Formats: sequence, structure tokens, C-alpha cells
Amino acid sequence: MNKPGTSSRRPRWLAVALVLAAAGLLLAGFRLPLWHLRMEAPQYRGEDALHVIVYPHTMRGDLQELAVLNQYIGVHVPETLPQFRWLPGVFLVPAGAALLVLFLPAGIRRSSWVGIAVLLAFTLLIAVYQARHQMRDIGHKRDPKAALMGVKDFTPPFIGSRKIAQFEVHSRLSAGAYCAGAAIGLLLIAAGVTRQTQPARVGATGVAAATLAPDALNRPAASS
Amino acid sequence: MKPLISILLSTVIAVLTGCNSGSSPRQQRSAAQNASAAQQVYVPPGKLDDYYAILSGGQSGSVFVYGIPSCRFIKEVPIFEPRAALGYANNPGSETYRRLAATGPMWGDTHHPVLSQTDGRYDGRWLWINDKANARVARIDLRTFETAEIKVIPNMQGTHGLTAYLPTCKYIFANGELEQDAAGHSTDAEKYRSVVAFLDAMTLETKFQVSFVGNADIASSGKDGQFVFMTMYNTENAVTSEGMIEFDRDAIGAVNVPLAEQAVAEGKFTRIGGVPVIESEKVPGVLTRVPVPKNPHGCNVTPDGKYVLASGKLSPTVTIIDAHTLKVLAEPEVGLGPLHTTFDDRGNAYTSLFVDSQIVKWNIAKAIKGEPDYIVDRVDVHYNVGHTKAAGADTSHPSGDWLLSLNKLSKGLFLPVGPAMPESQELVDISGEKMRVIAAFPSPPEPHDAVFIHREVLEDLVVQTHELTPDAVKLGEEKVVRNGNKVEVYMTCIRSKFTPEQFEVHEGDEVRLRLTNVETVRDMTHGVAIPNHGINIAVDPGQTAEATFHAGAPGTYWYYCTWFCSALHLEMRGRMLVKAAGEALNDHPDPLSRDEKLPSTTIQPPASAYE
Repeated sequence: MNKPGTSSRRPRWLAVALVLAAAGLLLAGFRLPLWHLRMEAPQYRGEDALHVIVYPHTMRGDLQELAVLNQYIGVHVPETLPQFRWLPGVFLVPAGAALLVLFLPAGIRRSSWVGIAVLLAFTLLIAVYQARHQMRDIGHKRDPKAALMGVKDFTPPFIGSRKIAQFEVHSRLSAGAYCAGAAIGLLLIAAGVTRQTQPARVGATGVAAATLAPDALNRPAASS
Repeated sequence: MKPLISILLSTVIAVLTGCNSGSSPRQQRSAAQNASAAQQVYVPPGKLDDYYAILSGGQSGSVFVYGIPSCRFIKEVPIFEPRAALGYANNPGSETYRRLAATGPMWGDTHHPVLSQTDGRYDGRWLWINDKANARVARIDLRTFETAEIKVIPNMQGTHGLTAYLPTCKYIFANGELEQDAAGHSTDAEKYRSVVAFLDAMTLETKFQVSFVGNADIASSGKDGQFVFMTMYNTENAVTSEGMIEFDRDAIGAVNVPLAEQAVAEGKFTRIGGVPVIESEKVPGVLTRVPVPKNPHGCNVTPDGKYVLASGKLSPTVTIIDAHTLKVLAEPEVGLGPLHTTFDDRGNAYTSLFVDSQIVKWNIAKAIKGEPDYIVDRVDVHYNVGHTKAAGADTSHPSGDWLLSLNKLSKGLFLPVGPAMPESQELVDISGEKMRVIAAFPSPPEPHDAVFIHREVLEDLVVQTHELTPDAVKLGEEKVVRNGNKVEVYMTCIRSKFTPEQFEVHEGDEVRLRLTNVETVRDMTHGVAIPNHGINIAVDPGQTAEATFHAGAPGTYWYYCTWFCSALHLEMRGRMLVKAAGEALNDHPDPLSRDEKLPSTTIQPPASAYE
């Protein structure tokens, strides 16, 4: 399909497919839940369990009920988070950038995709760090005038389960986070695939490209 | 000789002692039967019953909801009587109060619960029930199990029989049992007639009536829209009980519904009390009387719609009538005091025998053919059974598993609680050839009839919280509005706080208190009681209710939550400050914010509170 010689200007079909898939995942992840917290207690079991679902732009779930319950232990449940201002961009910007790179000179495609993937991973890690900090604050900066006595400070789990007062709290990453993770992986693979076409940029002809990159000849799809 | 005597003696001793021995074969069998019965009704905590059994509450003016097979009492739905605990019709000014008061007395006598059907099966939309005492019919919304509509039937006294006109449930058919003159203003017995009414199933407005000499008792609809049937025990049109049993034969009345509709369309009626009334004598065929032994009671159409059965009451028979030709096909003897008949899915009828205190199971086809062995089984019930109803027996698809025996007397069946004894209901397993009485359970007075509806029918229909209505008070929009001596208080409640937490009024002010429960989780009901003012509002999550009252003598009245809701339930209260006329009032809805109330110095939690 992708004839030797033409790859010097146009990205390989595999890289295009991978980048398109990565962008698609990021666009989907933009509106999918990132993180899911489930709370269960004897009177909050099964369909009565409480949920907090964090999206890149908002959070949903039983926020009113959590606010009602938390007034007794002096926990302030925020209605919104500062990262909702920039998290959507963490999904949209890399998606757009990765697609733009397809039109860039072949020589900087690989490094661009690697860079986008690394930047995406880094910003997500910042979001995680910020979230963990916020979660610690939720359980530690409590209203000292709260009604219930004997409640110890706590940090809800970011991933995993923990018992907090009468609740078993279960946290897990959700579809949006997996989309972002997969997108990072796909971008890196796209970069890797691109590397194999690198010699085509320096070679003048398809023959030269094949000579300088003998492994390309072993790929039936590339050489046929 | 001696050995023989000793053997005889030992046998006699064994027989005598065996009677009291816990290990006699007879008692072992009984214990095994009890264990198996217990297993059938045992529904472990956390598991749900298969059926809702909805029993009319009779003179309680309500319906009772039980779970079957566990026989657990689940809920009472108040309809024709206020129920302060539930905030139903007890607060003047409330919607429920206004609706009930607008239709007559604050008491009713419910008899026949009727479930809506689609294609011969219960669809879980509505339950209708009659108030015999005040000629009313109510519609209950099964999404909330709350009364949705109540209407009076004009020109009628003693609304007894009730049925949905099948297969469409377009009309609710209601029977007038107690005779009166057409408009109800005369005392002249010569003018007495009765009416049967066709009500719009949704609005409960009476669309038209058919009037006749005599009365109508129990009702049952044919399955194909042609006839609605009723028993008529006073064809004598007498006014004494001796007079009412004078004739040897009374009747099953068959009202031809298409003919009645046509008569209305053709103007063959007199308008009385705003309702078209067809005089049966003037429209031949609109009412056919099929003679049956005197003073029949129950009237039940078989699930296949082929027959209508009249239970004899004073005659030990059930009359089987062809539901289309109206010919009497057979009159099998079933026992003493047959009152009502119900059905399984295998062609059997189950008739309650009031005098015999029995349920008798008999085969309809065999009885029609005159085969001698039509009686299948009899079982004793305790005591004096009135209605009996098997699951789904009013539909075209009975399930043939459970039957309720609604007994009139309990006579020591339960712990003695003084002369006023509970009513007794018994659950009978009819899944086998032989019936088995599995459990007995008490109820308040007095279920007359019951219907079963399977849990699966209502599974996706029943709501567990209310949607906020447009008139709801929203969080943050609580206020006190004053207009002369009228004060409107718009209040919300959520764990564990009323907002406002205080309001001020003048002595004698007319206070209209509207309360919205802004909770969103199920089962978080709050109430507000106002001491010495006779007010208790109850609001379920999302619900809004209101009460109107006059403020009492000057002083402090702590309104408090009546439904235990949270760890701060007792602290969930506020003050109505009643001031003398002329004193200045503070209209700030919540003058003391939470922070201001608490000490300004922050108390640090002890170090041990940290992890």
C-alpha cells in the first residue's frame, strides 16, 4: 500500500491509523468519566450506594446527599474543582495537535508525537497529584464545629478501597482515564512506527530507502 | 390369658399416652407440615415478596398492602379518612384535605379494590376503590400508592359493587345497593329505585347511569365488552329484611353496555343530577334479569369470560350462567352460605362458604356436565369467610398459586387484645390438588375484598422519590410573606434543618405553611408538627404539602420533625414565635445563621482524632 519512496512525504498508513485512533480516544475521553468513587454502608447498599463521578469538565453523582452526610462530620464537599477549567484541554489539545502533526514535515513527526504523549501523561499526572491533594484536604481540613464526635481524619483512596466511618469507599479509574492511557500508548506506537520510515527522508529514492532500511523490506505490507 | 391381658393393657396405655406424646406419628406429620408451610411463607430479610396483596380497609376508609407469601403488612393507603401520621387530609388547607372534604364526609367504607388491565392482564397503572357509605369512588396511582382522584357518584346511595369494564377499562362500573328515589329527596318507598353508574375511568365523572326497580350488589365485568353483571338481592324492592327475602328467586342483572351507550347517544335518557339516566324499562334489553335462587351475593365472571357465577348465600348453590346467551347452565351445590367465587388457571372455582367456614374447590366443567365428582376439595378457614380471591383471578390469566380467605371473625386466633378483635386473613396454597392453609394473619377492620398484583408488574413503575412540582419551595428561596393578618411561610427541610428555623406571626394570624422536602434519597421522609395547633405535615423526598391554621396564644411554639431522620433528628426543629397584636415582627427568614449561633472561638479537635 505504502510504496517505498512515497513515505518520505506522506506518513505511513499505520501511523495515520494509530494517530486517528488516539485522537478519537481523546475526543471520546473528553466527555467520559475519568474517575469513579462508590460508597457503601448498611443503608447505602446496592442501588442506594453513593457515587461520585469525575469528568474532565465536571463532577456528578450523589453530591447533594454527600453534602448532607458530610455536614455531620464537617467535611466540605466542593461543588466544582479548579482543574475542570483546564482538564478538557488536556484531552482536546493533544488530540488536535497529534492530528496536525500528520501535516508536518516527516522529520519532526516522530518527536512531535512522543512530545505530545509525554506532555499528555505529564498533565494527567499533575491532575492526579492535584486530586490527591484535594482528597487529603477533604478529610483533613474539616470543620471543627461539626456535629459528630470521634471521626478521625481521613483521605479517600484514589484507587482501591478504604473504610471511612460507616462507609466502605471504593475508587477506580474510569473509561475516560483508560482512553487517555490508550491514546498515550497509541501515540508512542505511532512514533515508533514512524521511526522505521525515517531513512526515507534522507534517501533520494525508494531503492535507497529500502537499502538503508532493510527491515522495511521485511514488512510485506510496506514492500508489496 | 395373662399375656393377652398385658398386650391389651399396653396397647391401651400406648394409645392413651400417645395422644399426649410429642412423638406420635400424627404430630410428627403435623410438625413436618408446619415446617413446610413455614418455608413457603418465609421471605428472608432483604428479599421481596412475589405479590402485593391489596386489601380494602372497609370502615378504615383505606386500603392495606401486604406482601405475599410472607403476609407482612407493608403499607396503608389512606383514601376516605384522614391519616395524620402520613399527613393525609388532616391539615385544613392541604390538597388532600380539600379534595376529600369536597366530596363528602371525612370517613368512608371501602369495599372492592379493582386493578386496571390491558389485554386481560394487570398493567399496574391504577387501583380503583369504592366508598359504600358515601357513594364515592377513588383512583389510586400505583406509581406512588397515593390517592389521585376522588369523585361522588350522583343519584346513588350505597355504592357496593365495583368493577372495571373489560377489556378496555374505559369505564368503572359502580353499583347502587341502597334504594332511593331518583334524585334522592323523597321518603316514599314506592318511588325507590337503584342505579348502576358508568364512570370515566380516569376522571371518575359519571358518564351515564341505568336505573331500575330493586337493587344491585356485587359487580363483575364480562371480558368482551358486551355485558357487565351484578347480583340483585332485593328484586322485591322491600324496605325490611323480611321483605327482601320474600321472593324465592332474585336475579343476576346483565347490563348491555353497547346498548346503554347507544341509548345515551340517541337521547333515550332523563338527565338527573347532571347525569344521563336510562330507565331500564324504556330501553328493552339494556338490563336483563336472570333468575337465580333468592338473595345471591357474589358475582364472578370466569377468567375465560364464558360464564358468570352467582354465589347463592341463602342457597347452598352457585348458579352458572352463560355470559353471552344468559342461559342458566347448572346450579351445583357447594355448601352452606356461598358468598364469593374465585378461580385458578386449571378450570377450578373456589367458593367461600360463610356458614360452613370453608373454602370449597370445585371443577366448573364437571359441574356444568352434571358429573357427580365436581367437588375437588374443602378446607376449613377461621372463621366465617366473606370474600376470597386467588392471584390474578379477575384477569384472563389467573396464576393458580395463592388464594386469600378474608374471614369476618378471628375468635381467639390471635393473642387476646380485648373484645375488639382483629380481622383474620388466611393464605391458602392452591397450587396442588388439595388446598393447604399456610398462614393466618390479622388486620385492622375490615377487608372486604383483595387483589393480588405481581411484583414484576410494578417493578419499573413504582417511584421511590417525588419529582419536585412547580409549587415546590426551592432551597434558598424560603421566605415569609405577610399580607395583613395572613402569613405565608415557604419552608424547606433537609437533614437536619428546617429553613427558616424561625418565623414570627401575630396571635390569630391565618398562617399558611408550605413545606417542601428537598431530599433526593429515598425513604428520607420528614414531618413538621406544630405543638398545640393540631398540625402534622409529612413530606416524602421531593414532596410539597401545606397546612393552614390560626396562630394560637402568644408564646414560643417549637415545630419539630416527626419522622426520625438522622443523628440530628431531635435538633431538627424551629420556632414559631407568636407575638401579641401590635408587636413588631422580624421577617428575616433565618435571623441566626449557623455560624453566628456557635461560639466564636474555634475548638480544636483532640490530637487523638488525627490518624
